[in-house]
Amino acid sequence: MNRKDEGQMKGPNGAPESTGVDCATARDAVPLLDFPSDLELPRPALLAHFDECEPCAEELLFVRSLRAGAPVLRPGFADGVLRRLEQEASGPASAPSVQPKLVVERRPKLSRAGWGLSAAALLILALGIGSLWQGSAPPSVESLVASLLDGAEVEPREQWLVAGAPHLDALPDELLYTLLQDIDS
Amino acid sequence: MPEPPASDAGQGIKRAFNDPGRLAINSPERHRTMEFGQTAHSDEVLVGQALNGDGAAVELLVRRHEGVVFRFLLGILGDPDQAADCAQDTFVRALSSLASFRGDSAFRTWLLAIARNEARGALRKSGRRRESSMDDAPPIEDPTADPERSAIRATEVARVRKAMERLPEKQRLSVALRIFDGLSFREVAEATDSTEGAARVNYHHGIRRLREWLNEQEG
Repeated sequence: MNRKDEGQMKGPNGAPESTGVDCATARDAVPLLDFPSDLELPRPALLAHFDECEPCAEELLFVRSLRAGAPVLRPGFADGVLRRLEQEASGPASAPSVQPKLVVERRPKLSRAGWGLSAAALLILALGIGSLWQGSAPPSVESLVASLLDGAEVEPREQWLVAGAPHLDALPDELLYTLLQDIDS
Repeated sequence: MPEPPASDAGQGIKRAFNDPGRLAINSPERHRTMEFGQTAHSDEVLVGQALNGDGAAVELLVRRHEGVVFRFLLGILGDPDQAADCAQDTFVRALSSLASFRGDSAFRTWLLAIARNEARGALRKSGRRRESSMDDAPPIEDPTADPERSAIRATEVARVRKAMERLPEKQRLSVALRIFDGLSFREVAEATDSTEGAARVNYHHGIRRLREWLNEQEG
């Protein structure tokens, strides 16, 4: 680890900002660094950030250690698929071709209630920011979500901030961003 | 994506598999074409070639995406054998109906949507939610590792997999699709039927929990 001079600008989480890359962007990019993916920022800038920022470098090492456990298919899988295709193709000509009605599912457009929910979320966020300006304590994430869900009882964060929790997909990006900051902190 | 002639659209795959010269598995000609394809061709080009009856393009599409489809299905089904069978069904279904792929999304995204439907069908058929673990799935082999190191690594792999098993499905899928196959948040969202923001939260929350759990075990 190359920890450079102590007096430089520090970003959130104590990360250096001299590379022009913030920690959130770097951590988003961690799993993509080893793939030929399109990255949000130039690869050298990201690598420079990992060289200077210890917490982000640790996350990079952690993700690489997880990747070592990637499950792989049994050998010969592709040949099995090709054989099945071959068998199907050489089947009786009268057999109906497989034409499933499979298309990539499109996300449904927001219903009126959905728009209302989003508007309510924005309003709540605006009120939250407003209360910050007035010096009072900002509402908790839980209370924001509770308001958003029209008073529904909200479980502790560890319970509902999980995939599959019914609320997460319904939350607007602004609130999800708040949650991300919460995870990073 | 290049559009094949209308008359060829539904027949290309069949023609590829009815022409022994084009399909013979392990034929040198097929592999030469494949090697060329591996360095030069995008999925969209390969789809066009497959629709025109190119068996090598079909094989390359399978080999290129078999891993991500298998791991995605394993994340849903939990059983390596069932995931492999379901992956095979996914490819057969997708390649048999390749003409219906319009290129509105990436080919990989389209494939994962089909895989998700296949997994749902498999779960419905077996009348259960996932209950077994990923422990039986083999890890990536490292031919250079000595036996002692391999044993240590196998223990580590098992530990990681147990931890991933504890994550809720969408977190597990978000983490797996990102770290094993390098999918963007947008692709993860489409594969898991989430929003992009939710996919990002699921990924970061999943990673944080994995770190906590694995650090606890070490401590």
